[in-house]
Amino acid sequence: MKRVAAIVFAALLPAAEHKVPLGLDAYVPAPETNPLSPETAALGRALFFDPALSRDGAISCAGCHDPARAFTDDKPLAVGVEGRKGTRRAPALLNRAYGRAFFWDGRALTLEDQVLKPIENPVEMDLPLEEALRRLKASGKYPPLDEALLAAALSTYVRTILAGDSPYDRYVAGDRSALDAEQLAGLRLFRGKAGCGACHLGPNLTDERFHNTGAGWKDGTFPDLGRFAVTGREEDRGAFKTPTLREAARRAPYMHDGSLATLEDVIEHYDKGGAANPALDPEMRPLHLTAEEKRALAAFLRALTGEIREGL
Amino acid sequence: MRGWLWILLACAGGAAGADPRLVWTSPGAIHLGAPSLDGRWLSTVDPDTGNLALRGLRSGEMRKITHKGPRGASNEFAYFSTISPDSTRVAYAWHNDDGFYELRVSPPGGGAARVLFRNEEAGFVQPAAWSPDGERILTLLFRKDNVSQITLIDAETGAVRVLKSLNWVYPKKMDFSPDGRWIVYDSFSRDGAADRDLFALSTDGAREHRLVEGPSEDSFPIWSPDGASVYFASDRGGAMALWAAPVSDGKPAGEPRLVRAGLGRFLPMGITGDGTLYYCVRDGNPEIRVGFIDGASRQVLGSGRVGEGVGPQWSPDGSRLAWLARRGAENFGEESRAITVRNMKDRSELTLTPKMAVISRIRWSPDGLWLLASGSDDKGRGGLYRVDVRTARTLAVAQDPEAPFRGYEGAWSPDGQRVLYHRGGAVFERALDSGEERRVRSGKLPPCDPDVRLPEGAAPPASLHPDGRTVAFTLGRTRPEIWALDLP
Repeated sequence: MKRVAAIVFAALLPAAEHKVPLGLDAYVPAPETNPLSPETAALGRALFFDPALSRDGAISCAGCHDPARAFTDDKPLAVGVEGRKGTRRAPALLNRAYGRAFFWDGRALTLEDQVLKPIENPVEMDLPLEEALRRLKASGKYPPLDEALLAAALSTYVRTILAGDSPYDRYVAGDRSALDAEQLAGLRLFRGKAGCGACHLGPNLTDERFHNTGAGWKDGTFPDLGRFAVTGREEDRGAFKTPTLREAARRAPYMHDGSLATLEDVIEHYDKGGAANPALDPEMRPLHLTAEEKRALAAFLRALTGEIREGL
Repeated sequence: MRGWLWILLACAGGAAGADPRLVWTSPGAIHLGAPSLDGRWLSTVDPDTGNLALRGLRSGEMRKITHKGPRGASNEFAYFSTISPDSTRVAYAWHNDDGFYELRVSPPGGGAARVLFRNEEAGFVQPAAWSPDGERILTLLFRKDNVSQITLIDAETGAVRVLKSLNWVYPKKMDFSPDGRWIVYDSFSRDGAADRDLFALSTDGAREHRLVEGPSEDSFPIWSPDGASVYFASDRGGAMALWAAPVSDGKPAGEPRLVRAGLGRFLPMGITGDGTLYYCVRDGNPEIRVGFIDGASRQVLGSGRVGEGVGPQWSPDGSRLAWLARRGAENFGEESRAITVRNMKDRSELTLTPKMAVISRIRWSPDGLWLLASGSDDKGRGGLYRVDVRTARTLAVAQDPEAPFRGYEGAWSPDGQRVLYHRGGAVFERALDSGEERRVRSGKLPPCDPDVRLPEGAAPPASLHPDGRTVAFTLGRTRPEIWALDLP
């Protein structure tokens, strides 16, 4: 009952201008059919944390997308109901409002399409949507919901999860003291010799495109075909979406399969030029970084830790 | 003769269907400014000094706003500019002595300039328009990470509000709606597309609508003074022409209509309050010519035209001539270029469109299979690239985010296995197979310009045929013109 009151109260609040953290665009894209609103965001937030959306009532969206862990978790591969193991790591739900494709393979083109799929996925929450809606209605905690409103509320809440205002953002905004000498050396490497900025660029530090870095290549094959499963194009075999690097230091382990435990492991992977395979991205090449340069690069990646805001 | 001008009287000024009138043409006319709302002034750059200037649209007077010394005395110069709605301030990009651009504001009569925004991380600024209330300046920032940003900069405090980030291919033009609630800009229709659409973005950052779409190139949008239309350049009818899209509350309110065709290679600059559109035209095209050399005088005796473009280069065996040809729509900056390879025996031509945004120079490899191209790749990274002459496959040779967008000056080693290039005042040698690089002590690239006296009007680089008697060169340049069109 307390939660219902909170939602109603939020709905009565005047729609304030959406404040975004430093480093992000003031324009937060949302479809015309589902504009950002405090009431929808509040409803989405309540649903996001509700374990009723999983078959066994044990896990909520926040189970894998933990706010305390930058909206991901610490497991290499996502673990669903009854301990069922997925094949990919839970992606961090940061700044997804600015995204153009969703899931590691980009198979969903809108957040509204994406947010319901984990509820039904047998290795995630494994709950038919009809059953989910019946449970939510029976709980008495929510206004009348249908599939579209459920998707609208969850996607709106995800759109409000914004990460920014890191030392890097303050540096880019003109504060020359925001990065120390080692972090600054790392930034130069990031943009220059290490070439990270070829794919990790812009306010969200991602090009939102799909690249084969050799991660997951094992015994001459990719157990997970990645983007190829969506497009059928050979060049997409083993390619996965570039993740944001925001809050990178808080989001171990790394890559789509959680195969790299630390930031240092990630740097080693790229320093080697990734894992050679037939569809390796042309941007991948040995970097020949020195030990000092690797330390600087890691220091810079840690400077991408800032503030996470959620809700309106 | 620099500085000569034509001012043609308007024929039936303001009347619907009036013909465009040439306002100003000069080898030094610079089209990086905009007209004032009252139609009295056009902001521009004094070509002799690089100072910000105002040109009287009726009087022809040239008034300097800044007072730096002659070109060469410093790195400073003015660039893009826009005049406030009440004509009391001019906002402009100023290239400073530290090598990047800052946003400044000056009164039109001269006087102290105010630095409104200065940040090396966003080292290119392009003020596009003032808000109707004169409180904010719609400005494009271009960051070091090759991201462009549509921003509103407070005209008093310099506080920056980033509305939207785009990739490195930035809008060609942006403008405010007369009610100040919207801005219009052009951008790619979708990620990876080559055509542009028009978008209206609310100035509070809350909404965005696609105003004009289609497989055409729609660019250079300017809002009409009554707010009911957005004028823009488009090839939706075939050739580039001026179109207008009806708009209401930031949304399309009907189909775009053709306003005027036959304007040439035009770039809309702005509209005055009485509805006169000012635009720049790039008149003329440089030609590729081939001529014979007099052995004694080293003069070119006569020449013939083989195509349009710049920077011709003979293949090592002399059977093919490659040059840079303009492609795509107009823009303010470096034009988009393809590579034309002409077989001089059968006169067939091959057009290569490498994945490069800017190509400033090409050089054949000794085996005739590759072209070394100076410029920037499709992610805006400057450097040196090699382009497969058969497939246009493009591989980076030397790439650096700090490199100029026109790339590094480079040359092949005689065996074609290495590339030498200039970087930061030194010469480096890069092995193509291993990617290993070393600094070269001699510090000079092999000479490439032939010892030939080219005809007047020819521009380097020229290229000497292996027979030693034939030279290819570029003749002529585009001439900027400023025109006015009274809109119906």
